[in-house]
Amino acid sequence: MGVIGDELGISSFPDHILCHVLSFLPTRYAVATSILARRWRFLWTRVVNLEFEHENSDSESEEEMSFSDFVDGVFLQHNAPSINSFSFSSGADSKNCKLDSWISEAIDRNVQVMDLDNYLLRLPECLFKCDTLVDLRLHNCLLCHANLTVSLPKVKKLFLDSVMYDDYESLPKLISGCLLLEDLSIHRMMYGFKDMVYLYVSSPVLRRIALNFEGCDYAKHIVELDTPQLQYLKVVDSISIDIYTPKLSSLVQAEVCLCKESCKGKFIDQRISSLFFESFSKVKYLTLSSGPTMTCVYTGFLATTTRFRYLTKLDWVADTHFLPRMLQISHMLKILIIRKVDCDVKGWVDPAYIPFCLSSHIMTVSIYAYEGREWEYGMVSYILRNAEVLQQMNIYSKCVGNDSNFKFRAIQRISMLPRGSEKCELSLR
Amino acid sequence: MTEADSEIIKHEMLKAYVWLQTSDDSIQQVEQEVAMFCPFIRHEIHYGMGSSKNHPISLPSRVNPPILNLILDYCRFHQIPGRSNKERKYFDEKFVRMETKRLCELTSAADSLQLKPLVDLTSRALARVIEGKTPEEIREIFHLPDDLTEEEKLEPIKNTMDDPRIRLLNRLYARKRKELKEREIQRNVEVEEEHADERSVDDLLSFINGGEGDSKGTRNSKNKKKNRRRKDHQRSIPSNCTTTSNGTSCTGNVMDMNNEELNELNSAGSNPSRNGDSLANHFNVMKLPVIGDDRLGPEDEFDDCDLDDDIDPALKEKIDQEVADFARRLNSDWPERMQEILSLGQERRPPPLMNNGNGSLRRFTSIRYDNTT
Repeated sequence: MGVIGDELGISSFPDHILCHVLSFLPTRYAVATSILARRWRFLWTRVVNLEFEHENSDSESEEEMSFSDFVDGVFLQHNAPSINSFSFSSGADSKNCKLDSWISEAIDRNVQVMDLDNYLLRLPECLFKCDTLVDLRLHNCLLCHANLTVSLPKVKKLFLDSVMYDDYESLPKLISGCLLLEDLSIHRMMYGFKDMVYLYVSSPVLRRIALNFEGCDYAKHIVELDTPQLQYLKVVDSISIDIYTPKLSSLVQAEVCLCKESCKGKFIDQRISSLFFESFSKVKYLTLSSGPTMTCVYTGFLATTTRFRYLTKLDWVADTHFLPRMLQISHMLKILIIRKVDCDVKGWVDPAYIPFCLSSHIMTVSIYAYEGREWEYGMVSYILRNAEVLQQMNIYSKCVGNDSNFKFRAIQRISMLPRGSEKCELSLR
Repeated sequence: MTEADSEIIKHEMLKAYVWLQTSDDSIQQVEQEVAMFCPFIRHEIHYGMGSSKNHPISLPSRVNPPILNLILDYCRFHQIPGRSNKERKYFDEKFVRMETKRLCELTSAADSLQLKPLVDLTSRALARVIEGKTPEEIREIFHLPDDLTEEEKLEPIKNTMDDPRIRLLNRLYARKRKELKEREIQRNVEVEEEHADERSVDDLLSFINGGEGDSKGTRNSKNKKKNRRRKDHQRSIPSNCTTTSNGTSCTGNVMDMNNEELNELNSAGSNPSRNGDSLANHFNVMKLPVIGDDRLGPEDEFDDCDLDDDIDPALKEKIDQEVADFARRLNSDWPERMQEILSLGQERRPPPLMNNGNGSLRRFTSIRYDNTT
């Protein structure tokens, strides 16, 4: 089988393109291409991404040895002057102390993106003094160095997932050692010995923070932010979290999902409320969840004079009780997304005054998990009737079993509703 | 109306269009803003090409009309600024669903037009095609010639031990010599300091004990890297290797240890029942990938016999000395001692020699320690 008619086939690619293709493969596959054909023999040695994944198996020593030899062998033969990313993931316990040397090798080769996942891996200190690193992702590692000095002048993105810390200073030190840090993501923090998780983030340049403490039921979380340039904040927590921050005046987008099980009576936590009423008042995009904490917040909205003057997109789990109020305080709202409609005993009640945004701004409404219940129907019909510039109304039904009939009926019902906007397109799935 | 006038009128009408000529000499008229999404075309327009049918932009030969249309579809979608990331991703996922042959053509063409996002997209797709398939399947799909001999494909370790490894070691020596020579040219002074450096094993040990850091950056890390390589291969080479570096005083112990290790690797290599997927099985083959044989790739320039080059003999002896030190140290229960030292000696004294020309120390300190300054 020759290469007739394949002038543009893969064999016609210049080397750098072939290497580019190989760079998207896990390294073991890239290395394995060396037996495909003569030309492919050493292509893998110039690939700029190294990705190693080691499955933990019980028959330990022989497997361990051969994986370790493989990685050694790769580094030995690998020829590219600098590598772009080094990714290592191992289920095995990190008695594999060679990882230190591999990390150091990668740093020598000017690595820019590093992704390490190894349970209880003690991070080598050379990792914290890397001049070329731009994106650092750590999973399940240990950050416990008593006198850590951090110098990561180019790191812009930091992702810490289930990392365990020794003391309260390590993480702030890490953050402040990244002078250009723009994007910080923390997923579960663990302190070996403490019940309270305290996170202090201070950075004059940080723009995005995402905190996810779901599942950390054992500890109270206190977060203190000193991030004047923050544009995006995401907080997901299933236990109690206190957030202290001066007003975040640059904030453009916020996503808050607080599923706290118990709320202190009817009073919202002071700090949460200040977050909402002060820092969020200028956001353009807001994503909110439901739950007792949020209910407290929404109740607070009923009384407050706060307005979301700039809010153009709201994505939340609506409550029929609060929806009218939310619409009223968001004058500029253009996009409304409702993930689910909760309801209290009163059901849907048409509000006395039509919210301003409904009649003048709202262009897209999407409703998920629609079940056709009375209050949902009432809400949909109210919106359709009064939204005068509505262009798109999407309703996604909750798929439950034998529902083609139900869907059909729901579609029928809704499409018969009067619409305040001529251009309104209805889409039901 | 003169021809010049009609040219001008045409030019006015066509202001928003460019003319592109593909490999089969056919000429196409395309909206300028769409075509400008390709850096190649943008460049040509900048130099005044493409403004009329008589002066079309000649596209690289890898761009034929159907592929050009695909590329223009891509450009047409993505050049609109208002699209969300989700939309773009969704479009890309659908766009790239095509048969492999077309995918290859598209990659080629996009590369010649310097359209990097499309090259990335198609390269990823091709990688997905390759991933997880057996070599036979891959050769079939891409029409690759099966032009390696069986020996070349098989695990090199199965062959005789001496030759491949010796050659590899020689290559490593050559490479290190070359790099050292380059460095010598760049930094003469420091290399001379290296010459003067006659440290005993104890001194070296105390150096390690005392400190780790220095800030020589690349230079020392290169040292470190090479020496680690050398160490790894040193361990694997039987002592009766006939290298030109005669300073090596491999002892019988080293040989035993090497053979042991070789046996382990051997048995590991010959065990076929590893991971599930077939291509990954070959990673066992590639444990010490493609070492030592005459058909070389990027290492071609390191001819086996070209080792006694014009490196300073004193320096050369230095290198050999290092290797000998290693061999000796590897012999002992070095790792355990290191651990001990690690756990005990947390105090950091400033290192006795800041200018660490001795690559061997750099290597050890970097493997076991964290570089602190």
